[in-house]
Amino acid sequence: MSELTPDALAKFEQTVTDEFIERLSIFALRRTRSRYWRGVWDGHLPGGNGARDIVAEALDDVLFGRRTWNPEKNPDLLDFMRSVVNSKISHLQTGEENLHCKLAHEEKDEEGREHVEKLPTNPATTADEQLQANEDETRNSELIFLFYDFVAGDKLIQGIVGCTIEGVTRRAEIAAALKVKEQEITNANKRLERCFKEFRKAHADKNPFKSPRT
Amino acid sequence: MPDEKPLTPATDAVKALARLLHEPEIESEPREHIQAELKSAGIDTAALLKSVREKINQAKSRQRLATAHERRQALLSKVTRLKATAARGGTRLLDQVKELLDAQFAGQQQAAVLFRKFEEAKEEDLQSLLDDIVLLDAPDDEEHRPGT
Repeated sequence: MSELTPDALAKFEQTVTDEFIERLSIFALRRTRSRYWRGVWDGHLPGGNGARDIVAEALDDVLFGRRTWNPEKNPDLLDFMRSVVNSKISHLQTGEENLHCKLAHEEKDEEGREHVEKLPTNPATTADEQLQANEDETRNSELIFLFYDFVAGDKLIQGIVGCTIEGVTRRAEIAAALKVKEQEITNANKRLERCFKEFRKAHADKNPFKSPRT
Repeated sequence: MPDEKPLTPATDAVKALARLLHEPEIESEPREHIQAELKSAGIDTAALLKSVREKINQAKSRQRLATAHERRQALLSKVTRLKATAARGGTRLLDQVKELLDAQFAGQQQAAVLFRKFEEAKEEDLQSLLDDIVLLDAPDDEEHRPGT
């Protein structure tokens, strides 16, 4: 374990600007939130504290030599830092329930109450996890097909949802399956978000995942 | 398409949609969008940057101290060798001392003073001269190191 060399430290200092921190933070925030699938149905989504702490810790790791950055091997520091952040987020997740316990506890509402989404205080047993997974699957199955029909007016969005139901989940694979450019899938993101928003409004009564604070 | 059907295909589909929603490519995304999203999530990037800058400065100080320490050790070793040579009455001693002082303290007036002192020094004076040289070589950071 060794700290950055003087040259690497100088490069680090030069590269870590306000925009760099913003781009690394947004990566951490979205990466963290993407793990909270309940957020799709308006369930709990973590605030920024967890993501901010992960970014700070990742930068410390490099500065104090817990992670070695070699500018010659990894000239793109942002890319390297994203991989450090990514690895930290992955380590936080040892299972969906564990993820909810660990990350949700960090979030508090305006009155300081913690949101843990009806999770047990103790780590779930495998049987508990299985039961929860089965319940989630039943509910998700109802909602996802309802949503598929809901977006029938937008063929691209419906195609994307259809792909995920079929098990085609990566952006590039979805683009290939729908015979469109990958960028079109990215560009459809805002529309997808809007569709979810409208769906949640239209089917609020059928949504068991809705967070009590939203 | 995977060969085996996953056990929770609907949940996996929802997870994939969550990833699509929250992990768009961000390279070309306007900075204002990013700033707005971070603000709404309560992330203060200015505070984060300030904290990183402080840690960078601390790391630089640690590096300066390490360099100073190495330099001091190297100098001590040279002076100690000279002292041993002086004790044996080496022939090129004064030349070596002058070379050392010139190399380490080029341009500093104290170097000339030290050299004169060395020329006149008796063996028992060499230890205090060595201390003077080390003191002259110590940078400001060194003086502030805890325990010194």
